[in-house]
Amino acid sequence: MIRPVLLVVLPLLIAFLSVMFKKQTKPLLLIAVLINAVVVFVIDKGEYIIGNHMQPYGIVLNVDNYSLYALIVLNVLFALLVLLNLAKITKIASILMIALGGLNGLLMTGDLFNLFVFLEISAIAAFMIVATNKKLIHVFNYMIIGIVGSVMYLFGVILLYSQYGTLNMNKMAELMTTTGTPATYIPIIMIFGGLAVETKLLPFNGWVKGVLGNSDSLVGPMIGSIYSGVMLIVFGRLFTDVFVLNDQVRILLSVIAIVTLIAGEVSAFSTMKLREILLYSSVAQSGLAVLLFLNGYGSIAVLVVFANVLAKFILFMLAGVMTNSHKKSEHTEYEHILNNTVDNHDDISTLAGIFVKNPLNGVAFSVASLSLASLPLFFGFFVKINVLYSMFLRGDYVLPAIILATSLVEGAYIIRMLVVLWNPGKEGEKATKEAVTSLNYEIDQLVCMVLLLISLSLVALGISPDLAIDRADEAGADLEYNISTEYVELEGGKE
Amino acid sequence: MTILTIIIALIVLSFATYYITKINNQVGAYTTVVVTLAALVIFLLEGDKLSGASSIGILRFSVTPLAWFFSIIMLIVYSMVAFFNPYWMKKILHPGAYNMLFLLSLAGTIGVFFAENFIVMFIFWEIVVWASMFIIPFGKSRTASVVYYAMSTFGSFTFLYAIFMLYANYGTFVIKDSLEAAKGDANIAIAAFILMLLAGFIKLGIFPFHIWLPMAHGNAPDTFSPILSGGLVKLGAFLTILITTLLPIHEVTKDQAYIFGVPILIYVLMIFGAISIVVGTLMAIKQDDAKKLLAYSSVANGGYILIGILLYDEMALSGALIHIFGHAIASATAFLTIAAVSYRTGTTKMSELGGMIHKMPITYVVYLMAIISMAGIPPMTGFISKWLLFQALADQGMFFIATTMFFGSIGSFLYVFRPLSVLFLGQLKPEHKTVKEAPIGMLIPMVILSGITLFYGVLPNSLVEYTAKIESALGFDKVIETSALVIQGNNGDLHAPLITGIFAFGFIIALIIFLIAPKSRKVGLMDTYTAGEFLYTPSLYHAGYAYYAPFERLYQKHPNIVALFAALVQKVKDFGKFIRFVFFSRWPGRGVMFIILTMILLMWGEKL
Repeated sequence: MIRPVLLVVLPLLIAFLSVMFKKQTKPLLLIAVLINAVVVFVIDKGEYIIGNHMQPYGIVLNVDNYSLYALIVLNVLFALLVLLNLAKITKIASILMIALGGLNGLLMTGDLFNLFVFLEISAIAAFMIVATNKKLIHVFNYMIIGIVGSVMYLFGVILLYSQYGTLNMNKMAELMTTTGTPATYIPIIMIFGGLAVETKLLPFNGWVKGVLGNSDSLVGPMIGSIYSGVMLIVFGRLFTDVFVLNDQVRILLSVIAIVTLIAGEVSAFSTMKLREILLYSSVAQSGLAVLLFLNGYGSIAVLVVFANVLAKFILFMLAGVMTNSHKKSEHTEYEHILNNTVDNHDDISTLAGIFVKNPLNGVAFSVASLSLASLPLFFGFFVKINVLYSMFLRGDYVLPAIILATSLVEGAYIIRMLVVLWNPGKEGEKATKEAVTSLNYEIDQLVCMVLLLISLSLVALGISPDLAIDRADEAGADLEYNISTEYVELEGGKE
Repeated sequence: MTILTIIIALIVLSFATYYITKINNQVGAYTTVVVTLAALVIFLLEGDKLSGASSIGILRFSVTPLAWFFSIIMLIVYSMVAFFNPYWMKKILHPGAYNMLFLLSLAGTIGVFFAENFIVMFIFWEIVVWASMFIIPFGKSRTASVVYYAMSTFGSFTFLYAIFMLYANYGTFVIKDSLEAAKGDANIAIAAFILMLLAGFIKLGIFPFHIWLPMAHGNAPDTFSPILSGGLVKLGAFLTILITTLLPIHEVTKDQAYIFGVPILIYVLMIFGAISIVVGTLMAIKQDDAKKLLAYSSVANGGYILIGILLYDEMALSGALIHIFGHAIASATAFLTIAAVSYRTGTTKMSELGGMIHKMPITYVVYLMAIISMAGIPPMTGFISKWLLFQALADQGMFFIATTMFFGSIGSFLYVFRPLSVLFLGQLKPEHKTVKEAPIGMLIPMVILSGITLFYGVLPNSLVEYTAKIESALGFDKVIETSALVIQGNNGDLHAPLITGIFAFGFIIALIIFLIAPKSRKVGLMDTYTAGEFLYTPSLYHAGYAYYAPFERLYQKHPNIVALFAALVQKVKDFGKFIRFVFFSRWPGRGVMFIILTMILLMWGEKL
């Protein structure tokens, strides 16, 4: 068995090494992500105390089921993402390793200030990863908002420290009993605001459109799927395990989550651009996950995050590839770059029928989006059923109605997108091969197959969801305020 | 064979068919024929003795006569339509996906019918929705499938909400148990009933949710329109019957005020059925596209079925069940004839067609028999069901509803006659001079379906007896009575073979007159009405031009419900654009401003 700190230290160490051995950065990166992806399956569970200081002093890493499953998903997907984009990664190999170390730390840390450090590390790495798009104004926007968020988080942590005299999460959870007075709830709101930037809650998410709306096959899955998932899990750790929320604060913050959910789905419905649809959809999904965490449906929220991470990984990756497609011309294949036409192919209608040319990508994309639209045979269906189920068990009749209404909008824009991407043709005329878009894109066979495999896993989990639901249950059991313990499963489920 | 085996086999075969079609189009298409026919044969051989015993986890099934009856309808429609698939393989962009989704949607419908609990029913219900939703855009419209999906899903979600609401209160998903338990609390029962009924309404195409039918049926691939109209729409009827009779809604609402002898809720719902009849009929009359016309006629027929179910007596339910059967077969047949015409000519617009009787006489006869059934004229199945429905309406003394039903029946003469006279009769277009009769593979299913329509119109008793069995299984105290060849109603008996005899006698007399009378002289079709003049605007001289103009003028300024839905969608879009504009800018200052404002609000919010 291996100590969990390795997951943080190893990437950071190799990142520094890679600065020294500039020519070997790619192999070093590969080594780092692959070792991490393997090691994560054999790490020790339990608390790991750095420097042997007695708790609540010193820094502690906490690996329970909740963080372990998140770590597994993170490290495996991260390795996949690096593998699939290996050709593209030139200058940012070291940055990617720092990002991986930071994200691993975020998931494991048991200390609020330590969490801030990892938040900063991963945020700075994220700025640099996003900057590879050369859309610097959006990076600037992201940075400013991100820094405002960090400051708010830090401020909240300071306020908490001044009251409780500790930054250790376990200790904090013991000491905190109420949030009834301003002194107790203001720091929580500050921390909420800080995390809301990264979890993309409205109106903390002004950066999302610029960053993900111009994403490629590296930035899209990285920010839209991996970062987003990790931040939500961190959010869940703080708000379902550490902080006590009284009803007023919970309702107040839930309103933000609900507004995000509605605004995200409605915004996605109002646009016809591929990446924008996906990014607003992930805003909405974040809203949903946060809403669930805030109300104590910890294990269900884990399911929502997991389903969304898998689906968005495929979708953002393919969207990044597809929007870079270009006409086959005899002049030069770099013409589209010279003419800066790359961004003009974001509109769904210009990509109409592109899956006729690339059916395997089409299948992966469709499966992921149908899972997102929570249709049966796909994993998203059981997630949504369980969301509603646990809410009804609590006697909550309002939230399910909101969730169903937004799901309707979500389904509509997803289907609208899929139908056009598969079936080219003017309205009122049959879909024909002639109407297929003249755009093309190059995609590696490996990418194609890996995405197909991930999408098949969504189908497998849709047919037999028990595996994922059981894991989520175990993860949820580690959250102190988790209230969802019953699920609709296929095997041995409720009748 | 158990239901589970059949469903799993169908799902596995559907995916297998995809790969078979990839290898060879035609083989794949014939696989759908073989698979659907095999399923039909299994169901016919085993009858409703099929076993629902095997299960996986919550996937449990129970066999009821109602489920078997609906499955048979569905399998007949699917298997007959499947004969058309081989001819469409070259015309469809994704033949493999088409065949796969075709079988998958069939598996879904069977799952819905036999599901023992609501969760399983919902799973299969949604499978049907998305499988069929992906076939529709292969045809002429992409928007249609989005509208279809959005409307269906709205219904599905209210359905799901009701399922969980019942579960939260009574702790069971089993259909029978939860509806049984719901009787206890009228408020919950009525709320759940309405929410579930919405799903049925939308599938059945009841006003104001009917707008997806003409879009989806009219624009789907020609081979899939018969499935939609003859098959999938009937899922709504199934759900409606199930919840109306198992609850039963008349007992739950018995404390309400009564109108014309029925509780007010039921009457209001029946009015929706009546409006569907009127709207469907009037809209069908003005259609130029034959498929859209038939789609609107499905709306009207959905109204009949709904009223029959809600009347809730043995006569009415039997009428509704037979109407479901009769309309499924007849409308599938009518859609198939239009598909056959479209296969040969490439269009379904009546104004672009004419005189097809000269080229496709068998198709013409098939269409004629289908519309006779749809219009409710003996000796077809449609007549039997309408007779039963009118009997029930007369028994319960519902004049207004009966009036709309009469209106619909008369109106149906108008609209079914339009394709007959314009598309099949009328002038043959010069460009269609070389058109041939539909290929034999298409004629076989069309003739079989016509045979079924005629058979149960002449000898309806076995059908009526089965509906009696369904009624007793659903817990009716009194079931419809038949003896030998007569169906007994309270206001008179129906002797279908006798009526057929009289019709046959009249037909023979007419035939004799036709044979001995002097033959008409053939004149070139174009000469008869142009008198050799040159036509500058030939379209104005087409028999189909402004066919019912005087009648249509009576209601040409009718309000359009589509505009209402479109406005709603536009509002959502505008709201989304507003949010995107305000919150998602590229200016960090704006983002920071909103963050600070929100934080102030949040901190202040505690005291609000």
